[in-house]
Amino acid sequence: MRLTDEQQAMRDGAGGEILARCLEVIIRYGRAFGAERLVPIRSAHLTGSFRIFFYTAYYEIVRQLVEHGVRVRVPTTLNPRPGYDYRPQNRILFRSQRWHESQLEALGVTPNYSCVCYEYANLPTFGDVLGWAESSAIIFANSVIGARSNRNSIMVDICQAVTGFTPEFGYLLDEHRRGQLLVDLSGIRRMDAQALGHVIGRLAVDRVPVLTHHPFTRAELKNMGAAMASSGSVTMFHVEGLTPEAPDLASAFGGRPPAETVRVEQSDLDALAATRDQIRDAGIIAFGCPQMTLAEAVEIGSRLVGRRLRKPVLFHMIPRAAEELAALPLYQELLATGVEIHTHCPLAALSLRIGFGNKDVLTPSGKLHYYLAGARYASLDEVLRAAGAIDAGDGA
Amino acid sequence: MTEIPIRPIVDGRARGPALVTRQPINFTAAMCKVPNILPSRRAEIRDAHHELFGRNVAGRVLVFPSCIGSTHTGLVLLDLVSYERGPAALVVERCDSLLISGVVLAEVWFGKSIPIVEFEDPAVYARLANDVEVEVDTGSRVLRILDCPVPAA
Repeated sequence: MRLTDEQQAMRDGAGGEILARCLEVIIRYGRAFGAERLVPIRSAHLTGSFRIFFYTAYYEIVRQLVEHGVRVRVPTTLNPRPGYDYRPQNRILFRSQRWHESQLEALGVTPNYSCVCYEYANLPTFGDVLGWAESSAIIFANSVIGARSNRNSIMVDICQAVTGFTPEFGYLLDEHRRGQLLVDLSGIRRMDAQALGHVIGRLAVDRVPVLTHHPFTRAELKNMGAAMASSGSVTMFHVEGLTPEAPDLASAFGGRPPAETVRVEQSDLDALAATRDQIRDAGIIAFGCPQMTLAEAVEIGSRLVGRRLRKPVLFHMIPRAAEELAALPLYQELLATGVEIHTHCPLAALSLRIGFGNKDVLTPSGKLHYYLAGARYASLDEVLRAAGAIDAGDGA
Repeated sequence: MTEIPIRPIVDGRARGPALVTRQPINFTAAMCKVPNILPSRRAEIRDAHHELFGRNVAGRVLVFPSCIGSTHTGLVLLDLVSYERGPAALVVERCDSLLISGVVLAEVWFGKSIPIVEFEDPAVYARLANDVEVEVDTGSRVLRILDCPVPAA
């Protein structure tokens, strides 16, 4: 790998031994993929915001960075908090959470606490090179914004933020951004973007899928991508005539014919849905994984207000979006209806809530359904019906 | 003894019983579950979506197509490798940035590492049964199948 003079000096210890180690991590990481150089990043996004004692090695490394006064060199945002739940068992699990947050903030990180960093705090533009972690944010940045990030792990994200560099390979290069798999959506009668994301993740695994045209909303693209990056390791997708690097199919595939074509049927989406019994037995309804935007909260919230809720309904929102929602009359109406509005990570918070309350979760999130043990999936309409937002007679 | 050619990604030599799956592994969903957080510090695959549910990966040569899912994977492997609680080696069809990250971090920060190698021939799945003793040797660029397991009674 060729290093610039600045990079070589950093490796030799000009910024201290700890920073040199961070650069060494990135060099070895890049070398494994045949990267020839390290390139500057415009921003970083970190996912390691939880203090959970499973990951002890990580906290030791962060401690060393803070002790040596290492700081981020590029704007850097941070994933959601795990939630504060003050029952005794959670006090033990999260007793060091605030300490860990202070450690990350000491590195100079923007305390936005959102996995949807690209809505407010960290706004890349087309072509920017990023050193992001968080699979749902990376797939959105690559696919919908046209910025360029590999799927970087926690701690590698910090190494990139403090050095300001990432190795050049994979999704930073044009040839790896082209479509490999054509996904024909013509068999779908009722679009359910999150179920589709789950199905495509399984089909594509680590390839770049190209979806035939459908006018997905920005929120659908966010949620669908997150699901693809859960059931698969999809890092970039294209939608014909919608996403920026796919004005048409030929461009999305870089002028080559697709290596494979698959047709998704309505039955593939329906197969993911919870049974009626599972829906009836669900004890909690959770929205927002990735966290809800203001637009999502207004859309879903408007359908819930004034209804008699059949189950506890939890919104997990981008903190800034929740502040904006709080300024609207809808906010008080939602609270009066009984909707709980949170700004933490639903996966972290619900893992505990389920563990000690033994309640099954029903969610229209393809990502939460994948990660949360015992969570059941249903389409947005089905979930709203289960919540009591749609009368049983309304085409049930 | 059979030798299968492999491409070294992270150098090293390791042996152990094989644990084989044709299904990609989501390490975050698999490992970040209560049984693995308990003081016993197990490394069991606890992803209900995975066919190896309940199997412990510790000391195993893990043979699988690729890694999927969350970017927490690097931390999972960093801990498993740094504290020597994880697989003996990773044998994959397609290596991934997250697999590399955890192992590289363990190497640079804690001086601990495991070999990661890629294989090309999907016939590997058919030739390797669970519990067969295998050795990964990046120096000679081979995966050695050392013996067959004792048949189950």
